[in-house]
Amino acid sequence: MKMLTKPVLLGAIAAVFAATAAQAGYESLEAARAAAAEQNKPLLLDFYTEW
Amino acid sequence: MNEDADVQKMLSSVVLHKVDAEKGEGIELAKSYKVQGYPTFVMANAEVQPIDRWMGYSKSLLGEMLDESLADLSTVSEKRERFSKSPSAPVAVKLARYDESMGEYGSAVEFYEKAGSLDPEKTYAFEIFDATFSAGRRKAEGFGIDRTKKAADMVLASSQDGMEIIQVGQMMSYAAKQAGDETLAVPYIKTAVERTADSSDESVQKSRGGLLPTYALHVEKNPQKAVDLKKASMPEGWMDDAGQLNSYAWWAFENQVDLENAKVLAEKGVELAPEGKEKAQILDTLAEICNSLENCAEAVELTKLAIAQDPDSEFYKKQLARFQELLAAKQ
Repeated sequence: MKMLTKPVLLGAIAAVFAATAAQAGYESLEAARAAAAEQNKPLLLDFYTEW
Repeated sequence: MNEDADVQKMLSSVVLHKVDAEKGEGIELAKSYKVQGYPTFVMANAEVQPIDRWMGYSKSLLGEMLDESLADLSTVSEKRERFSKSPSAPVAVKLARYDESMGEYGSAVEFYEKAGSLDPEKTYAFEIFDATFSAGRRKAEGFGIDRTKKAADMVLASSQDGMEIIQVGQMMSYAAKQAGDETLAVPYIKTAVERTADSSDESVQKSRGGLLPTYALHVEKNPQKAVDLKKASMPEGWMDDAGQLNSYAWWAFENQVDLENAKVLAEKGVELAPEGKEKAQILDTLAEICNSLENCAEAVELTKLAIAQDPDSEFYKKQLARFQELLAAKQ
């Protein structure tokens, strides 16, 4: 089996994990939302999978 | 400054929350956000009302999207209201991108078309093709291979961008295969390879190289040349890498070429792969190859091994039922 990925995204997907892993720190959306409110910044949700 | 530092600087204006869509609350969140592919980024305000949304990652894309999103922190609902009163091309593009990432392809295409009408100097042919392709791939209502072909024709008629032309060839190859008629892709593969032959862009040439085996197979109708080109395009050390062995073996299976050799390579991949999901994937490739070689009994046994490696996967259970059915029909 090979995971089918839209060709336009090939080669780009894996990079985000390494690039942003250091900033992944919230246990839940609610915790991230509260941090966004406290810091007065927008929230950026990064949906990913490990495959 | 390395890439990590660059990216972290870009992200300093937001609160990043990474959501593993296959674990914990991420499973339900991904469903509720209608995530269509990965990575998907959703920018939202502190009330979690969406401001912007896009799919895909590269450092430059992230920077561009963050700049755009941070320049207009109105919610998507507010942007829609603004667009209905005072249409503009940039907001049309933003709404198109948003709807596309939600799987609302018909609306996405309409917004891209509106963007083109509002700013005639720009073409959104590739964006329309991309959304149309995605819709066809997911069998969305009103979309299919005929519509994807028309959108591809529009790109080839309007674009001089080598990478877009190559991508049309790649994506049409996939769409034609999905439609069950690979000959539909031939004109696009031919155009992609031939129109980019003289490109001086290294990334275009690299992508073109990846399309050459498909060109040899479907345009030149020379399977042996396709196999040779495919092997030549594999990265150094691929014969000792489970993932790369799987990649080659899957390509051979998909194209029904070099199957005996692909079986040997997939077997080596199974040996090299770590226990778990990766080994299961290569076992599935091997099972498909065995099935193509008319050995359904071995395909059944290999799929049982794949299930043992990845017991939670529903896919392998379906594969097992399929191979067992084929075996029963033969006996």
